Amino acid sequence: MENSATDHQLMSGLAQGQLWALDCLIDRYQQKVFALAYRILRDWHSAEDVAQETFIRLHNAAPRYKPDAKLITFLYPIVLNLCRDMQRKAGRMTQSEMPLESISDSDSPESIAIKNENVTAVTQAVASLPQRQKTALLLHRFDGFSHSEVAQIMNISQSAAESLLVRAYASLRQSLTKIKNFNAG
Amino acid sequence: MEHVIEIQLIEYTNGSVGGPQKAAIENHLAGCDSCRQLYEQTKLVYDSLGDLAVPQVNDLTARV
Repeated sequence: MENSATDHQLMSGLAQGQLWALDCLIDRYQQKVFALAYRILRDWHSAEDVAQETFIRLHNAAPRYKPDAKLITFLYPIVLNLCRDMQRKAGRMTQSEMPLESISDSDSPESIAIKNENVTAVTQAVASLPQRQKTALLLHRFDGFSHSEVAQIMNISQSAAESLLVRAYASLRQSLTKIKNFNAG
Repeated sequence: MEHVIEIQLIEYTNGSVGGPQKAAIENHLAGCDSCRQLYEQTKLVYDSLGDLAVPQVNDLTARV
């Protein structure tokens, strides 16, 4: 597998029918794609279905792909649209338990309890956000996109992306600072 | 004193700000209690979000 090829080279190869290029792209992006879908849908199987369909659509879209931006800004709108479609079909998605971070053996029982409480609080606070705020927040926080890149992926104006992020962080600050013992450390 | 605009603070927390803008924000935070408090709360949220785990996806190459 040609792992040194750039995304643009792989998309070009895929457009010419070279399926090894698709395997490379899947290998490179499947976890990121899955992670975004999982954080939105909160269901492993649904997120896996979205991830699978994303790469099928990527394959179909390869002939019209233009290398004028990062591939991920082309890929993520596909994920977001599929998540939206899935949520519309299913009504409100039920939220499965989000796995807790791994806990070090050296953590004291008290710190473990505090950490679990914090993770639960953060999970609930994020889940309570309006969908567009949550999407903007996930893109910004977990993929490190700037607000202008978030705007591009969500197909909204930069000022709209700014507003979503500001409101999302404000909501989370308000929710999380109410919690006793809330501490990131 | 002009305070830091909230989106700039969020971008700064995210590591998306560099150069003179970053220096200006850091300079302001050093001398402004209200902005520094807002930054610390924002960073708390930002760091806490990092605790949200995502499971590993099964290899999709066989399925696509």
